[in-house]
Amino acid sequence: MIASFAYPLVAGFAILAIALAAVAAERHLVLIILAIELIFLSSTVLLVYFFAERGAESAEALLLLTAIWAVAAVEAMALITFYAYMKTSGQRFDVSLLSRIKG
Amino acid sequence: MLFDVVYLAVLLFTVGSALAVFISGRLVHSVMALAAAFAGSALLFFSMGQPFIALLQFFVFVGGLSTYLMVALAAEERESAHHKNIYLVLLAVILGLGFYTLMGGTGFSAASGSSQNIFMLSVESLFSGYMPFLYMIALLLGAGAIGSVIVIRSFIRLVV
Repeated sequence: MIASFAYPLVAGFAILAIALAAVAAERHLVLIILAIELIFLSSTVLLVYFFAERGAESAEALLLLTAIWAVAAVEAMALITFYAYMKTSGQRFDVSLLSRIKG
Repeated sequence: MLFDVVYLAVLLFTVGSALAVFISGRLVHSVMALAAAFAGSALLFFSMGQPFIALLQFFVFVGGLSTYLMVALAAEERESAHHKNIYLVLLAVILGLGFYTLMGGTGFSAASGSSQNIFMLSVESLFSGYMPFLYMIALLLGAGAIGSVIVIRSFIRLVV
């Protein structure tokens, strides 16, 4: 049984909206990384929804998903390690300084 | 009707978990909320008739990536993240019930609907023309893992 209403579509766009708002509003680096992970999650949900509804029997869906998963995993690993390293070595890593660029 | 209620509950659970990432006070709790959002998305994949992707999402993101993030941030914060076990038990019960209901109790009956299962592919069709791309992904993941190990070794040298 498949939902008559497009719940995955709503979930995907809701997660995307929350994550974009967080990227714009948050000042903590780790939370921004988590927001980017949520953007990857919403793209995965929307991609699977698109391919499932289209009934596409192709390898492109799996390849795209694999690419999204790989980039999401590597990005999270690298940035969290970088954050921990910078913080332990006593470096300042204040994302709020970026607000100066915003003006 | 029952499935509509379940789908709505899954939707609210996933979006609520995504929201909880940013309203929880501690980083470790934010990562726990992110893990819950990943688990909720796995339930969404079940509801879309894609049980294989749901399991992959569950194993790779909830089991792998969220654990990595949690361990890294807990070690970095150097303090225990106090939480109430009852919430974790409730979360496990909700996820278990969700998976059980969406799987139709036995088998993947709910997941085998009118939508096409995009993972009904043969291995040959997948591997025939895309090997360089898969090698690139493997290289990316390998480089990320090795780079993390190198950075963590320097990190340990710095601390000890």
